[in-house]
Amino acid sequence: MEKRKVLDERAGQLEAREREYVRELYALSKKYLEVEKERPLYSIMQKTFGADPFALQDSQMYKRGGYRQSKRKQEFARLGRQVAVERGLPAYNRAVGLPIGQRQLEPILIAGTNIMVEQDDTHHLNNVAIQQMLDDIKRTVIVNLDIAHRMLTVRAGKEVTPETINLYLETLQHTMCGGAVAQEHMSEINPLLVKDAYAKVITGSDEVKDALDRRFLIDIDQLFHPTRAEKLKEAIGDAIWIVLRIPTLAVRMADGDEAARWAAMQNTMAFIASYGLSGEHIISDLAYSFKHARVVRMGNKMWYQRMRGTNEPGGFPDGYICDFMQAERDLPARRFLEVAQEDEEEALKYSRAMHEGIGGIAAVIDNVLWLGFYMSGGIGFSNTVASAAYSEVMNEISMELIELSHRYMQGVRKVPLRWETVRTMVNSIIQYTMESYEKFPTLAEFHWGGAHRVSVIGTIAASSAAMLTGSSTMGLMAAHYAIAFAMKEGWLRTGWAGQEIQDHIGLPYLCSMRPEEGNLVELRGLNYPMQSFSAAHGAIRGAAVYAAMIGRGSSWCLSPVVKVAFADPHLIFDFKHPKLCIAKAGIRQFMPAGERDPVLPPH
Amino acid sequence: MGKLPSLKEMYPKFAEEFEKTKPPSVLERVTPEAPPPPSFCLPRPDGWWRQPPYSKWIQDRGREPTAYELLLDFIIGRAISSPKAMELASSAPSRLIVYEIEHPQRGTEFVRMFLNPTQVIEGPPEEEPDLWIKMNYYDFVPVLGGEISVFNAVYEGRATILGNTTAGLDQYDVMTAILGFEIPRPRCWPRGHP
Repeated sequence: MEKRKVLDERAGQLEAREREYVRELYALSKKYLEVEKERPLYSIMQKTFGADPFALQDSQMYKRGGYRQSKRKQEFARLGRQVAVERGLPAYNRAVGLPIGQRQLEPILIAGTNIMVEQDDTHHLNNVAIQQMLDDIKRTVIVNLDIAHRMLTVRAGKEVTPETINLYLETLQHTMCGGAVAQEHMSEINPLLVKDAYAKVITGSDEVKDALDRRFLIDIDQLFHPTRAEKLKEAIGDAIWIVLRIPTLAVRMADGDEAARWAAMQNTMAFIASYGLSGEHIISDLAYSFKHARVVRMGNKMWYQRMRGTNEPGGFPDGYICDFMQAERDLPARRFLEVAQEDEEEALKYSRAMHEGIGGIAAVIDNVLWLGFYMSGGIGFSNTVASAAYSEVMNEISMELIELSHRYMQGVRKVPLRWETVRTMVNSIIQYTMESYEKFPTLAEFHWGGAHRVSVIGTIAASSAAMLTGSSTMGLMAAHYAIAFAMKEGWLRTGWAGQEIQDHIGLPYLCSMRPEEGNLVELRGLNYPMQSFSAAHGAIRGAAVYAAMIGRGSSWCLSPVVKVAFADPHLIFDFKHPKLCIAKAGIRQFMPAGERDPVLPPH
Repeated sequence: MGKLPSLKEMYPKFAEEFEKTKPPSVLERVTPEAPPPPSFCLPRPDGWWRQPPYSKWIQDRGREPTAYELLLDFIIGRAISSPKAMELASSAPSRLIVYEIEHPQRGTEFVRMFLNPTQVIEGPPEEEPDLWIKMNYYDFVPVLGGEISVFNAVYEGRATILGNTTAGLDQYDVMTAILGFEIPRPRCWPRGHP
């Protein structure tokens, strides 16, 4: 009896102590809301919502006029009526379905710009920059010319000199635009339709570069920071690669697989014309080399059920997707840890470059285009989740990674690839991000849905771990861990895509090197089996690969040639400023290629 | 036409020469070995605690101090004399921090430290701690001696911490104040953050 009494007393004391502890902490946490007002996140949320970011209630609910609060939706309603009248069939009509939009339809402030766009403007059909980004990738093929040159000298007895190469390059611009060179009576193409088709050369040798016409050259020295240029030139060596860009209209009419065929055909024709070739054995060998030998396509062919050719998003390796990104190319090729230890401001540039790339390119290709468009179709949750990656929020949270690394990692020479070590920093960042959601109700409203929030946490964890260690595998491990952590030990209720997510299988298979099970993260792709397919998780793998590259101070992720090919200033979409292009398209200031106006009746 | 010599005759050391032409493996280039531990983290010669600066605050018991004795001497000999450290320790929320210290000869030793109210207790914890730090004895010594930061040991992979990292920052602040350095508290978790 006595013992029972003691136990009861102890239990009561424990309970009281626990209660007090929790209550005290809660009361204490309110004290820190004032400190939170100094964060850039506060002003971003204030600007986005036009209200106090800490407000727990929306006083304007039901007073905004539903969908009419959005100018774009008003315009859609009007145009929907117009279409219905013109075609005699109902079209877009806000009168059907649920009356959506009593909540605030908040705009998105695109990071790195001062441009606010409405969410509808980020839909891939409304946003021509997103379309052009995909078209620019799909219409690119890279071919090595050394094999062709060797064949010409050894088998055809031709001499290859700088003059002949320049003549060939000039001829190639004509053939890429659909011009005939070797036959008469050919149908040719209106040049205005194909004004975006061209070919340019990449080489790592200064001697070869000096001999070539500068107009046809993607000049590594001019486009990259000297430390990056040096590494890229060393990797490419004295080989000559040609980057062929077929017209946007062609990939829109066929699909990405058209690029290699168009390029091979027109390249062969340019060789025939400029070297005066005849004889089928030489020409067939040339055609073979341009179609198959040392041809770099941007994506692999996918399996039967997907039914897509090469150069289509599902087949892009993650390493290539991160080589399309150019945001880091003006920064010195240094390890992130070194930079963060030295100077927080400088480290912030690296972090912003990383988010520019993964938010503007990886999130768009994977979430919006592959999962939202190719796989699902129609309107997209995926467009909304990608907007998390466009906004300033990720940059803001990453500032803390920099601060923590600057203050607590002074003197650390190298972060080893051990999970126990990396977990410490990842835990801090997850904790900080979760706290941010709890303190800012507006942020939780902005990233509505558990899948949305856990994927932001996953992206932050992936980029932090990869930046510190330089390992993409460690980055992806941190991402899977962070999501599972937020789900199982943090919030528990993480939404339809959060609960049953494949992070459960992604984590154990991660370090396997058997293709289709694990593999290097750079060599995986969007359609990879043992990883998360959830919308919004696209940016995670991009973050792991791109941040690892920046973290270890490399100049490319998977291919130096692909990296240089997308630095080309002649591209319509600017892969260095993807978010700016998307923002410009949102306010109708981005001009894409591939328009049919020159052959349409006046309209 | 003369008989061509065999490849083996032409290149007697072919295999050896061929090996030399290969670049180092990708794994070797991407993941070089971890740097060796700094000299002050290696086992120390007998009597090290009698040498300055350690002799200023470690009580000489005629043998190497245990982890508990080391931390207790640190608190008594150094922390109590630092007003800034006392102020910081009393402003932090109540925290229980457990050190699991591996000694190469004596094996594992546990020592618990309470922040606010400050207390050092020997032995494994009885209730769930806020933070669990596992490290080598000869990493723990330079941490207390101010030769390295506890976070350096963690981020260089020689120590592991498990639990609430904010508690770690509180502890780090106090230690830094004791050692007389500037206290770097990040904006994200201001001092006293629960």
